[in-house]
Amino acid sequence: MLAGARLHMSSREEERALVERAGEDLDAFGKLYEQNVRKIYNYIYYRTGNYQDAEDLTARVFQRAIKHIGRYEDKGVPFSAWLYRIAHNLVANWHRDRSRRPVVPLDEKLLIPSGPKHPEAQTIEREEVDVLLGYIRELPEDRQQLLILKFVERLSNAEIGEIMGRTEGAIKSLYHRTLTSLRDDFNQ
Amino acid sequence: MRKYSSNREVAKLLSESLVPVEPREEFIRRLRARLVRYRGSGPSPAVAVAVSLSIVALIFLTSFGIALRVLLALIAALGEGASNSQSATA
Repeated sequence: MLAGARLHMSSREEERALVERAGEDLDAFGKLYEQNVRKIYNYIYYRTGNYQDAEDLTARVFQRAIKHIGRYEDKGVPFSAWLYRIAHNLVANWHRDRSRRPVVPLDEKLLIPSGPKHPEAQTIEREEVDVLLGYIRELPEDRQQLLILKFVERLSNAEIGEIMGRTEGAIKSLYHRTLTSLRDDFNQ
Repeated sequence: MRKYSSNREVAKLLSESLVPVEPREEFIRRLRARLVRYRGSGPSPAVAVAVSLSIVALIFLTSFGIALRVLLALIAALGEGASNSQSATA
């Protein structure tokens, strides 16, 4: 436990040192990019539902980050929290712009990987996942973010709390309410 | 559609459905290269400050020059008016 906490601290310190250098040193920024690009891509992918927009918005997140990293203030939370905030704002703008245009369906590939199952079972499963993803995308933004961080990034409630600026208890409670809301949607 | 009797079942479906996706390697590589170019293309803060100061100084000098010309023109006009009235009285 103590060793884990120490490891967590040292990786946080390493990250802090990288962030401090990243304003001037491209290699430092490159390391931060490598550490975070997949997380941000996944977050945006599940919020938008398609690969093209996920790539476009991920690129914009890092362009914005490289432009403003000199003004970054360390508030004791992971650097990724800052990137998630940028991503969150860009996705919100993207949804606002898109609400004025026709809705694009989710990618065909945004499905659970399926093994060799009975075709009928596969169809039901796929339909279930499609419905679930539809329900998720109708949830308030904070709940969507929570589910992505919990299930895609596999983060603990404490880590999610750091990123979302809430207490661990608040995240636990929000998670419980989100599951109940999804269950109600399914059982309607 | 299946009914869900507990939150645990919903959580299980979520863990099966929300799986990490891997972005294209080419995208990751190209974006990194683009960021390097993006950073390289911008002027350094010191250069940006020097350029801004030069522009402000240039604008100030130009405005000052214009103001001086207007003032000289006015003085010339007044002087000409005064000499005209003098020659008329003479």
